[in-house]
Amino acid sequence: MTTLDAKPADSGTGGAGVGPGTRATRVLGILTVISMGWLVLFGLVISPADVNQGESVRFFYIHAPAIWVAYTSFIVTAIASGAYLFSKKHSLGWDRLAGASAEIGVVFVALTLITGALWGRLTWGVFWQWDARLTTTSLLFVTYIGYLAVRRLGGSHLQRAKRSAVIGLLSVLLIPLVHWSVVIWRSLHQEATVLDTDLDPDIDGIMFFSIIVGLIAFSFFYAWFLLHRTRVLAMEDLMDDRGLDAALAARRAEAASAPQRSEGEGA
Amino acid sequence: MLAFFDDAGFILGGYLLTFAAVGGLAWRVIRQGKTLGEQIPDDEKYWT
Repeated sequence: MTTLDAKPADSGTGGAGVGPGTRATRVLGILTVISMGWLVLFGLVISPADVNQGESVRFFYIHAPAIWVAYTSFIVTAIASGAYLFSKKHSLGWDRLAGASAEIGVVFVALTLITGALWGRLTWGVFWQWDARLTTTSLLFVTYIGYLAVRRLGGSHLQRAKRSAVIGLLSVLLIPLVHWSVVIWRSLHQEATVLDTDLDPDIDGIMFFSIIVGLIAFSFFYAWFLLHRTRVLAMEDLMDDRGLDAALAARRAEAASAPQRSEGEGA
Repeated sequence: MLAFFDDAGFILGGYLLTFAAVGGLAWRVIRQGKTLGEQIPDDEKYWT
C-alpha cells in the first residue's frame, strides 16, 4: 500500500506523537469541508423544488451519492480482499484497507436507508415498505455489519484477514442485486435516475449539478477517512502485537523461573 | 416555498443527521489516531 505523500505534516521531534494525519489528508479534509458546504448550499438553497416530488427532492442530493459511495466502498473492500488472498505476500495492509473501506460503506448505507425512509414518509406517506430495493439494501447493510463483526472475532491478524477476505469477496455480489432490484422485481422505488442503462441521466441542470456536488463531497470524505482509518488500524495492530509480545515475554520469564523455584523448594 | 416549510423538519433533519454522522466518524478516527500516535514510535508508522 502506498501513501499519498511521505512526509508527515507535523513531524519534527522524531519520537512518538505523530498521528495519522499527513499533508495529503489535510488537503483532503479541507476539500471535504468546502464541498460539504457547497452541498448544503446547492441542496438546500440553490436547487429548485421538483415538479413531481416538490421539496423532498432535496433528499436525493445526499441519498443517491451516499449509496454510490457505499457501493464504491464495498467494491474497494472486495478488491483489497482479493489482493490479500491472491497475492503472494499476503500483506495485512490490504486487509486493513478492506476493513476501513467496509466501515465507511456501512455508515453510508445506513445514511441511505435513513434518508430514504424520510423521503418515503414525504413522498409515499410511509417510512418503510418491504419493497425490493429497500429490502435488498437492508440485506446489504446487515451483511456488511456481519463482515465487520467477523473482523472483530478472536484470533491472529492473519486469521482475521483470511476469513474476512473471503466474506468481503462474497458480499460484494449483493451490489448488482441491490442496483438491479428495481428492474428485476416490480418496485415502488423509482428506477435509476443517473446510473441507468442508457447512460443518459433523467435529471439535468442545477439538480444534476447538485447531485454531483454531493458525490464529490462524499468522495472526498471517503478518501480522507480511508487514509486515516487504515493508518489507525495499522497502529491498532502494532499495539496488539506489542501486547502479545509482552504477554509472551512474561510467560517465558514465568516458565524460566518455575524450575528454579521448584529446585529451591526441594532443597 | 410553503411546501418547504411543511417538509423542513424532515429535510433539515436528514441533512443534520448526515453531517452529524460524517462529523462523528471524523472526530472518532482523529481521536483514535491521536491516542495511538502517542503510544507508537514514529519510525514504526509507515506514513512517516
